[in-house]
Amino acid sequence: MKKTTVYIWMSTMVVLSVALFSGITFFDLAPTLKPIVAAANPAGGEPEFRLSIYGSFEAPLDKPMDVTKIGENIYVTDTKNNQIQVFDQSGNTVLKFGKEGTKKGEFQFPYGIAGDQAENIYVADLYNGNISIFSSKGEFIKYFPDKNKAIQSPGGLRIYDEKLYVTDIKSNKLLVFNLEGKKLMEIGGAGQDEGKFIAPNAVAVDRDKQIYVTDSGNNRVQVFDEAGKFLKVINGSKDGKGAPLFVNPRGVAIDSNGTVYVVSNLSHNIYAYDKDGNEVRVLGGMGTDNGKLYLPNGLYIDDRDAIFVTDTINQRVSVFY
Amino acid sequence: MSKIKISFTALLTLIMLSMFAALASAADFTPTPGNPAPGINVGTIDNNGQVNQHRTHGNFQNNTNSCANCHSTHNGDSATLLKFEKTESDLCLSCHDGTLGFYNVKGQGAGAGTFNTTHESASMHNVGTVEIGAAPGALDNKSTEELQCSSCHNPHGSTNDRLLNNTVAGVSYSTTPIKLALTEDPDFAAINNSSTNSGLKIYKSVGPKDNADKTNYANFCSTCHDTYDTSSGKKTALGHYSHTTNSNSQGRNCASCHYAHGTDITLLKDAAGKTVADYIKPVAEGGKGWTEATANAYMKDVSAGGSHNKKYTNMSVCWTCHTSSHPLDTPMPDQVGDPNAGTGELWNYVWSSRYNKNIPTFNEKANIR
Repeated sequence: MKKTTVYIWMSTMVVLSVALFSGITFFDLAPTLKPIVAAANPAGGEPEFRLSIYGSFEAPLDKPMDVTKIGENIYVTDTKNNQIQVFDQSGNTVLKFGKEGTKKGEFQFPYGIAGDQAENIYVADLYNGNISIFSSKGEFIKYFPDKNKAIQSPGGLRIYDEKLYVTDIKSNKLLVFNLEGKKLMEIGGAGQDEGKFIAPNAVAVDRDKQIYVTDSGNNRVQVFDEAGKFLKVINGSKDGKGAPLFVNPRGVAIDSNGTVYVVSNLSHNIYAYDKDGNEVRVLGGMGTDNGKLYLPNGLYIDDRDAIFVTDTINQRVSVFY
Repeated sequence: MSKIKISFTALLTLIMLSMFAALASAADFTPTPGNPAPGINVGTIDNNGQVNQHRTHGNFQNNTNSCANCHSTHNGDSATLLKFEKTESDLCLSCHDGTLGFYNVKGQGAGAGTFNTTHESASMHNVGTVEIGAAPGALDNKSTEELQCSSCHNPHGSTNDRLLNNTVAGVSYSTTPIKLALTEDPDFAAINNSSTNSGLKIYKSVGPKDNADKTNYANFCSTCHDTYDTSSGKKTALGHYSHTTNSNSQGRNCASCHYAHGTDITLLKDAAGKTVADYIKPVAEGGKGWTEATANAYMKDVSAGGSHNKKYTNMSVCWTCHTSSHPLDTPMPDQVGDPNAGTGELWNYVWSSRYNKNIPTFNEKANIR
């Protein structure tokens, strides 16, 4: 091969690589590409306990209620301390923000937490009855613009495809907004019927855009289609029709295979079900050892199928993958 | 020959099998509301004569593992096989922190007050941090056990309203169930009006219901605060005189002046029954338009001993009643309206059959039970 041909090929490769990566950066394609890469290179095998995040010795977590991953950092609502703690993936403290109170940037019961594409942080406060939006540096930007005051007592909070999903515990509803604050959908109302809730505590959306709502007071998870039509109940019994296995279910999340994970708070377990509703595994169990849980609550599964669970009495977030 | 032997054995096996099958099917258990699992029997009628609808505590599910949340069969910390005694209140707060919507003990609207420690002038029954024997007024109560939610409530169920214990600090105070004056909580009208909730109702309480309940309730408190159990004109076991606490007359019961859980500045009232929220409300909406700082400084409990679970700030509850009962002959506050015409905003002249004349009486007195 001629020398010049080699140089031409080499520079073409450099130009194409630069074009690819600048394309990803400028068009903000990273969040779209990551799941595809993750799916092409699955972790595989049974999820096992990997690590726990406790916070620093001076500022340990106290009653952590929910967890999410935004970018490459892990965000935890440190509820009893009325703050948010941010960790890197090995559990080192990156940032803490928030304090007790009712004003901007203050909390009385920080609960559901989620991030948007710009990596802004949304925090639901159950007692203050609002959702605060912070920059990724922890600076208060604004309250979520809920003009008609549809949100009274927000619990579970997730953002999928630029849509904000929030459960309202006292009004027993799931509310869906666009990020400009326009209400797009509402499911629920008090009751035991299909499509009704008692104290819904968590929400998740799978890749088929089905919506999963933890109906804590009725000891079940209800599944809805994208338009909010009731599809089925998951409660640990066959077909969801028998007596519930869950006791005070809380966090819910779906991995890349469509396996649904549900935290059963008072039985200290995470139950996992495949698409046909068969139980595939149980994680946790009551205790203080590694991999055990004591009154677990919030659940988040990232795009690499790592499972994050808040363990309220053990004052930690445990990670399984 | 051997073939016959084998067939007889097979026949016998079949007969035995069918007998066992018949026995087994006869022993099949059908759960009912009164008998949800073999060996567990639950009253079907509650103490109000209604169908028992307390499904969370008491009626455990057939596949329950909930016993293990608090008890360890072989490795308990106490004689009742409790494990992790220190985290008991955390367990209760798993639901009663507002995440189940109703019965939030950290909220500000409960009949028992609040367990929220974050506001000014807060005081409460500090579960998990004090000994039961440290109760004010304790003489016979020498309990060294830690005060916990279960010191007063029975998580397994109770014939008393609000799952109140029949025995506290080792003292059984009454065999008659305590009824509380419960009304359906309008904040949870959607749940209360739902026909599909197998009868789940969320109630508000304003204290003990009838006369017998008031004296029973005083006896309940007196299991720990034993020398504070006093009737009119009698000396306590410690040789002091005390305001009457164990009568069913208005204002002469523990719950007349104190919250069971705790108090803070958002709940405290003044003699006229006004709260911080009333004072900071704009004048146009019937408030005083004060700043929050001014209202808090006004309502702050400054008494040396702290706010002691009181419903009224400082000693203002005394004045609410004692303008008309053992009147103090002090001037009444300025107000809007005419007290002679019954339109006084804070107080009005009310005829007293005891003193045979019209006596200025705070409107708030009517709210003292």
